[in-house]
Amino acid sequence: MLEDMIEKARAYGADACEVYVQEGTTSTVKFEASRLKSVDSNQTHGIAVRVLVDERLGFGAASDLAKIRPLLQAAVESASHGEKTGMSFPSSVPTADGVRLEDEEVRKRPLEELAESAEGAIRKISEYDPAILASGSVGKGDLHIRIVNTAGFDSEYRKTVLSAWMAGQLVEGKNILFCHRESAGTTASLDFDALTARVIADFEISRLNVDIEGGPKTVIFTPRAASALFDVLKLGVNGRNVEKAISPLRDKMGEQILSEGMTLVEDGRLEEAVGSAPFDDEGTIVEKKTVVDHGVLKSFAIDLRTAPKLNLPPTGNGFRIYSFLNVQTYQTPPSPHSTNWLLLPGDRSYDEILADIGDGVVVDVMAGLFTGNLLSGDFSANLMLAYKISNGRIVGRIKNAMVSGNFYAIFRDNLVAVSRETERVTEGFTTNVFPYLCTREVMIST
Amino acid sequence: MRNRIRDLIGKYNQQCDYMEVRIEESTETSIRFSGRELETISTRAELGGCVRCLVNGSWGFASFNTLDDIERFAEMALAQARLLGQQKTVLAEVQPIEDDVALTLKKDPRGFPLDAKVSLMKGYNDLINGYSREITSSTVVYFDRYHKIGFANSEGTNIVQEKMDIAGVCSAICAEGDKTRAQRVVFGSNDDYSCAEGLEEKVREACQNAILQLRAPKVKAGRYTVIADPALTGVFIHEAFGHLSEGDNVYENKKMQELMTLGAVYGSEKLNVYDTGLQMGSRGYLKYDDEGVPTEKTYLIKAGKLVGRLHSRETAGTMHEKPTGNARALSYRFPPICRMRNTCVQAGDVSFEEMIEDIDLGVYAINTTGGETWHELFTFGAERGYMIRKGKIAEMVRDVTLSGNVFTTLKNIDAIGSDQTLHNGPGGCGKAAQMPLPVGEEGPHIRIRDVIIGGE
Repeated sequence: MLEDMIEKARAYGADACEVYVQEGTTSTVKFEASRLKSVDSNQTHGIAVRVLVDERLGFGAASDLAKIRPLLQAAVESASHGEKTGMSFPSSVPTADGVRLEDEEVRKRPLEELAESAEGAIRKISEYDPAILASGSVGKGDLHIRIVNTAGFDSEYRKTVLSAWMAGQLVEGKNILFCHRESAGTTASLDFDALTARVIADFEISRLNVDIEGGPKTVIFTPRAASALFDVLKLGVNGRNVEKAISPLRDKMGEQILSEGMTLVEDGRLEEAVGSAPFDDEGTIVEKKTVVDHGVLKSFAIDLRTAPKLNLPPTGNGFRIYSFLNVQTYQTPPSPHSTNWLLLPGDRSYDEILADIGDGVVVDVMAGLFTGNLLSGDFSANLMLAYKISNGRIVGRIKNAMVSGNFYAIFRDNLVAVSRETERVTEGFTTNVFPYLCTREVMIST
Repeated sequence: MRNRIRDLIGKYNQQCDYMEVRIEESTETSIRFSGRELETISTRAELGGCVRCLVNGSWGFASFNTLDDIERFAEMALAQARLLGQQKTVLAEVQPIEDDVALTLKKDPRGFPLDAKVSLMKGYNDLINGYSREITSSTVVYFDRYHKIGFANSEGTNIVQEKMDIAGVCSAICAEGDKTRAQRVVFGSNDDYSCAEGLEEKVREACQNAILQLRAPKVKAGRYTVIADPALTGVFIHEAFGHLSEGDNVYENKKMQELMTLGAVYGSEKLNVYDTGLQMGSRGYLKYDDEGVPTEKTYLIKAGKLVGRLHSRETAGTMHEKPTGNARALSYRFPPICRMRNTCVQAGDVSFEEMIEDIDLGVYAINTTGGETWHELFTFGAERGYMIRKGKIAEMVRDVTLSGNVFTTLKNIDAIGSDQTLHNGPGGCGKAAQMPLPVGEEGPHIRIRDVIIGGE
């Protein structure tokens, strides 16, 4: 079947061709207002084709296999409009060993059991406080990816995913408190009770609202807040932005871009992480690499397209990502995307750091981060969950306030401490492992 | 296909309280220039469907794109609904409808060859990259999507609806040392390819503003009186009130119902807000929603008071209110949920001069980089701003991100302009992983007191 397609592409005038096949199923139990609400399932089968005609690249995608012929024709036609890319498809065939992507337990888990996990979360949250309405979802998925190209690459992998999103909402007068946690992995080891306990722990420290005066503060970013902010660096090391000379890091390779206390590793084969894969969505082998070593920039994320332009090898970061949701899809052409980022821990505990700084702010959940000029590093976000620290203790929730600053300035010049504790943070396709980051002189406006 | 769906529903509808089937066919052309390079031309063809069943108040939903197995997926949806069902099903009553909705386009993008679309966008891209030495890169994106959606349910509704969605952006980018600045021209329409044409003057203006942004200082953090331009007003009302008005926030939540009681005062007597599916030209135009319910113009706020909300049949039925045609799905892969269409602040009668003259220190915020809402708190970004000093527009500033609280900020709107303008961009609205759903926004210039702005 795929071989036929490749033959046809050649007949239409393609010099080289790549076929990407994605098949998947998901099932999700959803709950709302503390009751089970729906069970959704999804089956997807999609094909994407890339062709090279005289080094020019064309792309097409379809879910409708009856449309393969027009799809190939359209891809070849679209190539005629493109510019010479200098790119080629890889031939080496990697192996999938060394990364655990499948778990039969996930496949076998019945929907009834997922529903029970959801009910368990609802029960625990209402036992904690019946006024809190629980919502969320528990789901599983099964994914199969295969890539075949005319350079001889033909490889595939399968992946299972178990995921949960748990939340609670408490309305008291005109104060709405919403706490949520999510987690996902490729094995059956996800602990739903622990996740629910995290939501409850968030409520425990958020129920009292306190005032704070605006101004520059010492701010601790929790692992999930830090992980969200590091999207700025993901834009910075994105090979496409480097090549287009719009990344501020475009000529900073080997230079100090973050504080010496920060070492950042990318592990696209991280155990149990949903975005882990033996090869990227173009067939380049995924390996572990250092992005930032003691603050010094060490690598960019490069796909097949940007590699010849930057005269650097592809780094296994060519993924097909639906950018709005950060999930893999055959519908989008590949571009550079960072995978799982691990910011290495420091040697002080979170409690020690809290005690040391005395007064300040803990920022946990931000909204509207994406509306800032993130390429430049400038961000400004609304504080959804943030806490005031007085005398080394969290004393209450801060709301109707914003946090803003420049990512590079804060994490290069104003880093105070990196915690010993780290947490896994799931952000769609990526799983980041981050510590708490303590910084000074960060603007809080109220 | 119509007969096959009818037979399918006939076969299973005795086994559930309600059943619906949606089949969607879509084709998309998209073009993307990045810097001087034509980065992507892509064509996409999708065909898929979904079945949704309701049994004792619980839903089973199955989406698929292997249409040959449609019966298997129908059985799956049914089994999934039965797995949870333990309550009473409530759906607001609607009249069954049979209709064929053909496209009525002012200018059909399908009438233009790919070459023509590429060269139109290349024109803008060349204009940006050749504008001046300070402009270092660009992004120019165009897409058009054609959808044909067949919908049928167990109550006899049977609709085939065609839709068109056209949108894009031309972005001028300056990079100098660590600084990167971008300014954009956006366009969009549901019925007119000419929204993508004739943008040269606006593109030049964006180039000029991007260069000026390189030198513009960051806004100082604090609370300001803000004048929002029509594009920003649209996003503001979408974020500040549209989301809170969605029926699924309220229908099973007693505390939220107390907060959102019809008649509650949310703004001054001057404030009128509505959401409409009937605005031709808006990306939020829709004749029927994804439950086959005709859309309408739904007032949310009249003279400052809450008068309505955005319903699906389930949220309307549970609250004993009228369905409004707001149940929308991003595609066949998703069940319909309460969503906006074209959300508007209705024009008032204050001129821009009157609005600005008594502001001693404020910010004039222009265009939008998007926004986000979490219950009562919301944030929205302006593309650029100008300080207002002693009643006059003063220096340009950058990084203007605003935030507010629905219970106070709407009441702080104290002047509403007469220049209500429709705004369509290439983005869309996100909710429950269904993103970006095409929506439109409309508004005039408005003045808002006491808005928090993040900054230096």
